[in-house]
Amino acid sequence: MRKITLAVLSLLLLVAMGWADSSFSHQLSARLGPQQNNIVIGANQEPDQLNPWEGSADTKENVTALFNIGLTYFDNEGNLLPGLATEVPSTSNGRVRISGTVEAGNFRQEVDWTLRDNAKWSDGVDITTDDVLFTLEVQQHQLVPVSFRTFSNTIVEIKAKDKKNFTIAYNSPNLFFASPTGRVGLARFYDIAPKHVWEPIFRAAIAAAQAPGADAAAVIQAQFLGAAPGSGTNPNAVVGSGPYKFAEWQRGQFIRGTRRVDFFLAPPGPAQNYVQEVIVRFFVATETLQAAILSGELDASDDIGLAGVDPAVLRGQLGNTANVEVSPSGFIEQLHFSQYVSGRTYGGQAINLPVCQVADDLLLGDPRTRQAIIQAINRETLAPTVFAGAIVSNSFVVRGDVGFNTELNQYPYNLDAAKALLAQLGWTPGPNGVLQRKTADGRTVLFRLPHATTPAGFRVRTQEILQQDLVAVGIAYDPSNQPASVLFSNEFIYGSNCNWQGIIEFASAGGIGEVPADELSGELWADDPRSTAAFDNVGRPENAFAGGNVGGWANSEYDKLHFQALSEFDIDKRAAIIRQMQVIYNTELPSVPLYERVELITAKAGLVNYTKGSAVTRTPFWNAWEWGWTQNGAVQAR
Amino acid sequence: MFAYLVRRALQIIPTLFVISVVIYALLALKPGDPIDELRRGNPGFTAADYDRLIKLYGLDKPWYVRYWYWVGRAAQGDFGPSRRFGMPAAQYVFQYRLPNTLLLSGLSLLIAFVIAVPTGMLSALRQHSLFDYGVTFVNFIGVSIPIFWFGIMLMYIFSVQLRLLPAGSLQTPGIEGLWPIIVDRARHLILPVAALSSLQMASWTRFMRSSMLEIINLDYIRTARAKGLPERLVTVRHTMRNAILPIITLVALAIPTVMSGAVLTETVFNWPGMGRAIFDAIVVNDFNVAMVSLMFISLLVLLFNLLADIIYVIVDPRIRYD
Amino acid sequence: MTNRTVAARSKAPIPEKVIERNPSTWQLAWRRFRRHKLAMLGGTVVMLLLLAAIFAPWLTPYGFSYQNRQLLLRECGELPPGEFGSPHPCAPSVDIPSDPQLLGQCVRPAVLVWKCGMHPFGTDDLGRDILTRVMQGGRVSLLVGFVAALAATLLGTLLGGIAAFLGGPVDAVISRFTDIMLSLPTLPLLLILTGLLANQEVPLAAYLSQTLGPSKSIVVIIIVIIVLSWMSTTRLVRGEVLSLRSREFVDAARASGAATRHILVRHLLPNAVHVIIVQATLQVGEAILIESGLSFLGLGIQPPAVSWGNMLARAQEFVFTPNGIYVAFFPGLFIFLTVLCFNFVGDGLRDALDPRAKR
Repeated sequence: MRKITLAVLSLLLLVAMGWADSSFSHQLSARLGPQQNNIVIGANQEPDQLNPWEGSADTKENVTALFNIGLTYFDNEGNLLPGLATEVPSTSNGRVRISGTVEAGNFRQEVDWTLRDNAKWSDGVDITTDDVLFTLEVQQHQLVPVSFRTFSNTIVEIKAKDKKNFTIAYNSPNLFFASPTGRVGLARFYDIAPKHVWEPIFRAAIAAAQAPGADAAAVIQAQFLGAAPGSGTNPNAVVGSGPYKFAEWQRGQFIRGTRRVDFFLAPPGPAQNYVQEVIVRFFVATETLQAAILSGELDASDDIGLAGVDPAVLRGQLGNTANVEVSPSGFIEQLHFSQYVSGRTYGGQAINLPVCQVADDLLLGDPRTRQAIIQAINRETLAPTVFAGAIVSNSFVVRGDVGFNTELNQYPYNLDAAKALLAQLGWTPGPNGVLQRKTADGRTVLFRLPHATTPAGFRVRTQEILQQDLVAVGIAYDPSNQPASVLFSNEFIYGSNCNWQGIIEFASAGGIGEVPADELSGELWADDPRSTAAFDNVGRPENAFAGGNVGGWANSEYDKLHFQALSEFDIDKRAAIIRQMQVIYNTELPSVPLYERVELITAKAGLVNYTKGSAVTRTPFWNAWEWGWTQNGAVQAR
Repeated sequence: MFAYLVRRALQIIPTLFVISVVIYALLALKPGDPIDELRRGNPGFTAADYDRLIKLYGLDKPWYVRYWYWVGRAAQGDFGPSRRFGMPAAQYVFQYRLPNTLLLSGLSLLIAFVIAVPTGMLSALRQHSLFDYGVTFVNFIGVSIPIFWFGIMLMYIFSVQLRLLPAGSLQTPGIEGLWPIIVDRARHLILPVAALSSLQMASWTRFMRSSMLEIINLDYIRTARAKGLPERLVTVRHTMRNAILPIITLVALAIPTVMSGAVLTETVFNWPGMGRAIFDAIVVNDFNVAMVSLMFISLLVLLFNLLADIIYVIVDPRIRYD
Repeated sequence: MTNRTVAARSKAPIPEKVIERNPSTWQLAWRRFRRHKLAMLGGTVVMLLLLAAIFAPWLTPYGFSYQNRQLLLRECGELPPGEFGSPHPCAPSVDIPSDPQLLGQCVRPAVLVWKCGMHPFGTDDLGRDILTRVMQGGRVSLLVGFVAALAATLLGTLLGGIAAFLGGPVDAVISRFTDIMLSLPTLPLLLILTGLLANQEVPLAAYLSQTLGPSKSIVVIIIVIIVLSWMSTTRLVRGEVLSLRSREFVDAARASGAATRHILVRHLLPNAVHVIIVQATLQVGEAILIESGLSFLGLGIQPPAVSWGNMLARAQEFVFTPNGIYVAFFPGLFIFLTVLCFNFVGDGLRDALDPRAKR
């Protein structure tokens, strides 16, 4: 009996081994690191597929930067440099022209681009304006589920002068017309997609999707988005514009690319002194990634994988075998308050938005409540304890940004001020020291503040600290965690559903320099005066939960400034407006800013030009062609 | 007997149907839909985008309608595309995940079985010996250690401190040649297999021991011994055959559980298997992938249950199904 | 019980009754159990753990969520700049090179306070006393373990016994139901269930959060563990009873005209009881382990409620940092100790209850 079982099991095992093995390629070069002149990078976010059309920026931006480059890119100091383009368009070089006004309805913004002569796809085909036109066609096609069209919908036309010159015309202001990854309005990732590769696939998929009785979404998914150039099943089909050529992808394991000799940007000195091959390995758990770094299996790590790890500890452990770079992430961790309370006004008018009982009872709509809470939290000790290297924030804009307002109220830890504000609001000490008050309709309510967030380690720590801090002012704190898939779901994230009625914690991007328009105001604007719909950005059932304003804060003055900033092309004037908005934010506190997060990357000693630097750089992979080992003659490029 | 088995086999179909309804309903009723994931990574997502996408994905229909479409296509072998990976969900699961899972869980179960059965037997035959106490103690450790914690400890010792073995993953990228690849693969397998097999090994040894002990004390064994049969024969023919009975049920039941339940080990050791695939698919609302893998696991469970019943009949002739 | 009291009260008068009265099965079992040293040890430790858990709030000067954060940062901040490795009594044991960017920040977790003797098990990353938390966590973990295992075993035994004994359509229904429950993969199902129970639009979920508040996750976990773990007992008991049913003594009982219920209660269940008990003891530990696994995936007992499982899951974040291993050591040790002791007790019980045991 046992013999039979054994035999069957071993047979199964052999089959499985053979099966598993058959999916691995055998044409790799052996060994790693400086000896082989390659680099192995650890990351914890694997892209779902490689197509340039859709997907989340977190998972896609890093790896796709190996195989693609946009019209422009940011360097580690936040300078915008030309990528596929010969120069970055600006009003001063005459490549950007603006005429008319939004109000008059005749606004037009034209941007001239010239593609580099030597810009080629990784299969040797020239990159031309044909690719640009095709990319726009796909991006705007109704059957293609690209996730957002904010910028492409404002494109009126693209005029191609010749194979290398084209002009994009917008019908509303696009402040970030030159920013990489989707802001131009072309492909979601890295602007331009290869027409000669995608066009036959696209036409066939559209035809199949439009056939009678076809399930269009499934057909597009399977035949277009999942086609070989995106899925990587056929390495030769993956064609990109970037410094490396796609070579291999073992899902759940690694992606490998090899250096392109015909790439138009060159590192200083001979190209053979720099890494010839890049392998990005994916790790699901931070601990595994950490173990691999400590055991020396990795040459470098990306900017997302080590979030929350203490850089001091990592430096201590790595000693002089590797460098740890700490850089601002551009993200501010915030506590958003439910603003769904009764008796709200907007620009002097009463407004009709949902009301949540708990938020209303706790007077969360009154700015004094929020001011009391921010002063009751010891943010100075919270920030370093929760997120090593983090700095306390008082704004929705990150420190160092051109629009950052340095004159804001710092809200230092002040228990007495907090208690005084709460007393003003009618709260008196009740049972067990928890505050209580009588509502207008005669009920006695206790100050039990609910807090929802995801169970990420640093957020759980925040909850635990807040609990202790808030007890000191008589607020009973009622935290709950939901998996990210639940917390960020429609049903949950929008306060208008009253699924959370106290505070919710997440991070928002906080720069204005070159980030997209909606992040300009920390997603806190409420109503677009140009549209007929009410409260466009306040997600609720009536507008199918669109918009990023989850707490429901609405302030007409803030909105006015937001739209003023949106059509202000002069960066200094725009920065002045943003500073004004921060004053409103800082007084009203629709969200309590906790701290600015930091990111860390590691690079083994000897690896040069692997750096992230600034928050706008977005990825440490921005200059992948310059990576190299000093042992092999590579030199610092900048 | 044969009729009974055929009946049992046929029962699998309606059971599977019920399971598919339950899972589909649970997935659909869970908060969140595939659009959430798209919106989260994309600032500037508008109401129009949401409307357009929800229609495009057919999510505007109620779940039972969608289930009906799904089951219609699934019956023809089409499990729909993975929203996330842009390839057929079945291809993703069976080509990229299943082989890894078979390798890891197959090896773990095999090793657990091969070690557990003789150890449990010996331990029972030499009850109250030092060996018995040693085995019992090790078993207790095996069933008491949280599996992910054990994995991390192994990793901490063997890859961080001693630097002997790789810290997870399937393979080292960039190894070539058949033999080096096998060696590399084996090195990567040691820690996850050790972690994954520990629990099964311990509990099987324990059960093997206890069912051996039970049988040793039965009258017919005493009779066999009294008849003067050689001890070896008594052990192998009379005791072992009967003692192995509960273990076989356990093994059959453990196979699918280990395949889907290895998510902790897979997470710690970065092993791209089915457990993690299912977990991720549910987290990011990639329904087709979740459905196809959950249905596959369910089918396996049902088949192995049937197998356990068959083995019961074969091994224990006293059981009759009429 | 009644007989014994009667016998005890009426001492001498009816001597033949005392002689006639053999010690009951349970008395014999208790005698055998007492002789099992490991089981007694295990039982004692379990008792101690239970007492510590019950009286936790009175046994420690700290609250389980009290954070010694001020001390944590002040002590480290007071070290002279650039000399993190200086021989301060509370200094981190690892050599941290001076780093102006991170000056004045402490190395987490600060088990270093351990050395100062204020916290015998040390403190965690927020400066909370680990001993206090272990005791508090024991309350939750033991509760989850006991309740879930007890309920799952009762349910499983009942269904398994009924199915095997009655056979026919009842067996078919129960077996199919068991099959279906067994073939629903555990962890993904948990993920879906937790999601469902978080959705306030589901009436049960709304009711639970209203009535239970922050301890909702504990009840949810218990329910989920029960729902997902009774099946193995059912199958085991069913198998055992099936094989017992065809034994001679059952045939004999049946032949002598015993009622179905009588056979089930007097003959089958007592003979299967050791299997059930072994399974139940394993299940206490298993429930504690399932809880820790769920915590690892972020689905278990949610902070601020503390359990050994979520302490351990959280500690693993620090496995690769200096001192971090200690933060995980104690909750891990207590999980191990508890499961170990339950196994000892189960072992002793099995030896004691098995009618064929020879000791």
